[in-house]
Amino acid sequence: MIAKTTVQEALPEVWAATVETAIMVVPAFVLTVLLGTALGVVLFLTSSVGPTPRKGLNSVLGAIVNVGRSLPFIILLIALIPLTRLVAGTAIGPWAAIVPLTIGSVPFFGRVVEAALREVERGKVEAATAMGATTRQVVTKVLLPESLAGLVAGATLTLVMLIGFSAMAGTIGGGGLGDFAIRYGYQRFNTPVLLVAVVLLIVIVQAVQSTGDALVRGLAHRR
Amino acid sequence: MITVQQLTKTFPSPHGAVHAVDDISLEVEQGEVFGILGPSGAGKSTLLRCLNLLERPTSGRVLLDGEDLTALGPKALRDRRRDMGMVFQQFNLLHARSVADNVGFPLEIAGVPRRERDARVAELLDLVGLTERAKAHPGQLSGGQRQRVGIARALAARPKVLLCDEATSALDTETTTQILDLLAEVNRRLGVTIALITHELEVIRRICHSAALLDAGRITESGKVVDLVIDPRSSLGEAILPTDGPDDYPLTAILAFDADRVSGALISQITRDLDLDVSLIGGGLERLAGHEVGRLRVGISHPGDPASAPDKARIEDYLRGRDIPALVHALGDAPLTVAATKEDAA
Repeated sequence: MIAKTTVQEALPEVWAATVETAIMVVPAFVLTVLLGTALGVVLFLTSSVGPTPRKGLNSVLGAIVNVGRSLPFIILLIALIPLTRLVAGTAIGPWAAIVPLTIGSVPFFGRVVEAALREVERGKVEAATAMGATTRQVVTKVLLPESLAGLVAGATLTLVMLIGFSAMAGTIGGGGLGDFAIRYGYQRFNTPVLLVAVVLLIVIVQAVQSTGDALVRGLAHRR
Repeated sequence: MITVQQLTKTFPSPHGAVHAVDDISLEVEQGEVFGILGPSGAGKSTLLRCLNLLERPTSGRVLLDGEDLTALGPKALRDRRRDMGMVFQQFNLLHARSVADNVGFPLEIAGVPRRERDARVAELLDLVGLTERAKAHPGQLSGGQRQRVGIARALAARPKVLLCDEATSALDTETTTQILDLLAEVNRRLGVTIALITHELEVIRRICHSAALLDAGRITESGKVVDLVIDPRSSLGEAILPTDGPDDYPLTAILAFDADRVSGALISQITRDLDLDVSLIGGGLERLAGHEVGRLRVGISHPGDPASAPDKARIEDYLRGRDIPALVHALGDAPLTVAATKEDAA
């Protein structure tokens, strides 16, 4: 019988898995923030309470977002395999996982952004409009800066969610800490090594949350 | 300066269309402070927001220096809006920016270079007395200070007109006075025309040259503040300088006059010339828009016989002869209720 891998022996693999998680999560997060912000801005601007209401466009976008958010991520992951192959050239590996991770989290972050922009007092937008601001200036100089604390809090939430998603992506070939934990903990019953992965995930999520909270506090301090 | 022609703004509602502004025409003259008074829900805010087209009128026109704003395209409208600064009840400052950056915001939007902006911001902070707080954030300021920032910001792009939307309604009495004095100074020193809406008569009394009374979307009365006050029949004049008191004399009169023109011994003279007792019931003198004006409510009776009514026509003739606008009223006539506007209607 082969001896169980000790924690010591597994450490290099833990490190590689952590790097894989980062490869999946960091680019997906950056893309999500960019695309989700754009989506949220459009959702807000075209909504009935926004500065440039467009009922039709808003309904269509809203419907797409809701469809995206109704699918459990694990199902989205599988359904997107053809698209992932088209975009990334392969459906396997951490780089390929960026595609479904991004698509899975953009609708969520878009709604977070929309909600944050809604919190900006209407009067501030009105004041800028009265000064002759264009819609673009209203977005870049009023809406986004004034809601920054809310956006950062939402981005933190999204990043933690992405780390969770990445574990699922790992099971269908993405690699990363989730995949590592499943292989050792579930398939080989190696509880000590599983614990290492679990602790590491907890530490990462805690670090992300604390950093986000600190940023939000810093932003809130100014007002 | 600003001409409003047959302006109507209708909002749909479950109970049918609501005419927030109903066929209003008015003229704000260059260099004056024009106050629109009315209770909440009268359509004041909608009317003011139609002036810079924050609210698009359903029909009618708004002219700024003869140019029809309602006919402008988006780009031209943005340019014209820079000629109209706006001051808000809730200040609407940007909390992510410092005081200085708030004041410079309209210039930033207009693409004015940083250096030029900074110079103008320093000038404005000096004007409103907040030079020391340039780096503070709006959240660290008091309400009065925030409104000073709001006014400085509204002035940044050197507008011709300032639109004030209940600029003092969120402030306490003392701060209100300071902000009104600042607005009066801006009007006087910079020659900026001011159009404001308010539900506070004190605002009209303290800084307005002209006033209009708005009720249910319509202007029921308007004119120069002085003309309104020296019109004994004007309910807006009565609101501005009230002559409250009982009408239980055989004859009651409201005398309204420009005190610069009428001798101070008016009541003694009436008594002497007509051989009647004249008792002061209410009213007073006040300095408004640079004029000393008076509105008095007096009771008139025979010296020996307080119950019998003096000859009303004779008194009216006498006052007309003296060129004193008056409203004479006998006990039993319809009551003298010119005061349709109660103090602080909202």
